[in-house]
Amino acid sequence: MNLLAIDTCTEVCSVSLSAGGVKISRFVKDVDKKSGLILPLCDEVFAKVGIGVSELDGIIYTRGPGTFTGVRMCVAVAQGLSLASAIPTLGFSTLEVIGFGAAKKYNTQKIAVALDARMGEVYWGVYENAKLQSEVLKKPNAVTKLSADFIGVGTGWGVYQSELLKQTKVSKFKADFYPQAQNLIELYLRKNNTFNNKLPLPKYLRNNIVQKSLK
Amino acid sequence: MSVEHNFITLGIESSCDETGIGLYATKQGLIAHRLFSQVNIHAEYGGVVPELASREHIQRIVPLVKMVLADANLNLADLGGIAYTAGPGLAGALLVGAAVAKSLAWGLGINALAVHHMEGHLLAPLLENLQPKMPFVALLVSGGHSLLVDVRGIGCYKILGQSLDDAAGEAFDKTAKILGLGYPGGPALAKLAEEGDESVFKFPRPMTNRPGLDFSFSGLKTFARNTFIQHPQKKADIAKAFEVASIQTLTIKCRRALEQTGYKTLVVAGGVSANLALRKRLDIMGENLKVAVFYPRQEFCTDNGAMIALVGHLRLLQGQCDSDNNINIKPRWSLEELLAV
Repeated sequence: MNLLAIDTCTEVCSVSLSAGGVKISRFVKDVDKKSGLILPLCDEVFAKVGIGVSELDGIIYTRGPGTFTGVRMCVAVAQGLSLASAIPTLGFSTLEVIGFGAAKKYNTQKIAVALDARMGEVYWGVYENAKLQSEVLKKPNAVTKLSADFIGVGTGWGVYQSELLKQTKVSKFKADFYPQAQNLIELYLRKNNTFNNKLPLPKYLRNNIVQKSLK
Repeated sequence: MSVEHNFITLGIESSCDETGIGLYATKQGLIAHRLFSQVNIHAEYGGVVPELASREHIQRIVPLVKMVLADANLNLADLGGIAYTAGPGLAGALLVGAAVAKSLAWGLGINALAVHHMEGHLLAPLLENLQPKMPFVALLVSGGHSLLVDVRGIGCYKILGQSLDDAAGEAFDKTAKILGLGYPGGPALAKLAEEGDESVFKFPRPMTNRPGLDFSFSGLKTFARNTFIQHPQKKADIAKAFEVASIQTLTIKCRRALEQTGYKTLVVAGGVSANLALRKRLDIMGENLKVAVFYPRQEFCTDNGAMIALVGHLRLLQGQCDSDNNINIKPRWSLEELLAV
């Protein structure tokens, strides 16, 4: 199977291309306008693997949550590439791919993902037993109560460290932990998913973004 | 390129609250276009909400592209290039169009080109059968811009004057809001003005009593507010006085620009160019000065994908295209920075 995975939903940008037993990935962090680099990164991995977009069997993307602009960049690129050659797609939660990556790295089945959502809130997901149990937008002092054997990952743990530690009882965390496109491919294959021909669309979690005019 | 080759350009517009898609071909000119207007979505908030605009664009662009291709009985493989609005405009909204356009072009292996939104408006009259000849003076008046431009050729633009505060369309919308006409209120204000008496109130003609081609409309809006506070029953007369003052100010500046350049052609574009009272006034001025005045058809006065397809087509045919695959936008971008064709 020839699979392309892309992610630009948070502070990082990554692509991964798997074809004919070869997997080439690129990951960029701390670069200005990083998500605008997604197509040059695609250029690199396609050139290395030696196939064209039209030879893909599917495109896997993160569909949010994350920064609004980053989420839309990722989904819009998935839309454009999919439209070009009628390639089916599948979107995964950013929290799920982070949880999956952390579970693999730390060899545990108990991961608490918190992404900084600004405005005093986090995008919160509990990844347990190889599954994202839920994804919600929460105040740090209102997230799920967990146990000390969970590991916290994601930028939210850096910004709201004391509130999250107090609320969850988690004792270990890694704030500097990001989604990676290569994990999207593993996630797709591991869960025996199927692609679809629906238009890729974002899932923001924060939908209360404006107040109606009083006039 | 062979003259036999029918190069087809897809245009994508997403700079504000309209999702516009157009197809322009060498042989037939404009072959299809569609628009999804978000006006009703933003109306309940009293103005454009940038985040809502971006959220709509990402749901609308691809379905509209498919519809436009179906309208023209074409496939993606028929496209020669893709043009997209890269600025000026709302950053989040621009980014959606740019990302879809560039990834689609990349996937198809064809060139993409960043187009200046105001150049789209400037050249929209070229979508009509009767087209203006360059050089000409262009008055671009919309909710976001008020510009007088010396157009010597495609890409050869010199800004002669611009609004120092509110754009003309913005002043129309804000004054309409003051009068309780809702959003966007410009067209509603123009309609109400038809019932007003021009002799009841005399509004100032801002910046017309001194030389220069710059505009200022915020004082006019404030004048309307103060008049409304004193005379809340005289909405139609206030609307009329505001419209007459705005139009006369625009007309005076157009006359000056034409006299300064010596050009015999005026192009009027942007959302406010749909205002019939403005057209009537400028037509009279044109007759007096022996100047030909051109407007886009009503549906191309506001934002649309057809004008982006046209500009992109003209430039792509000359070999211009984005130099790399980075997805970049230019929310602030001057017309004077463009490359000549």
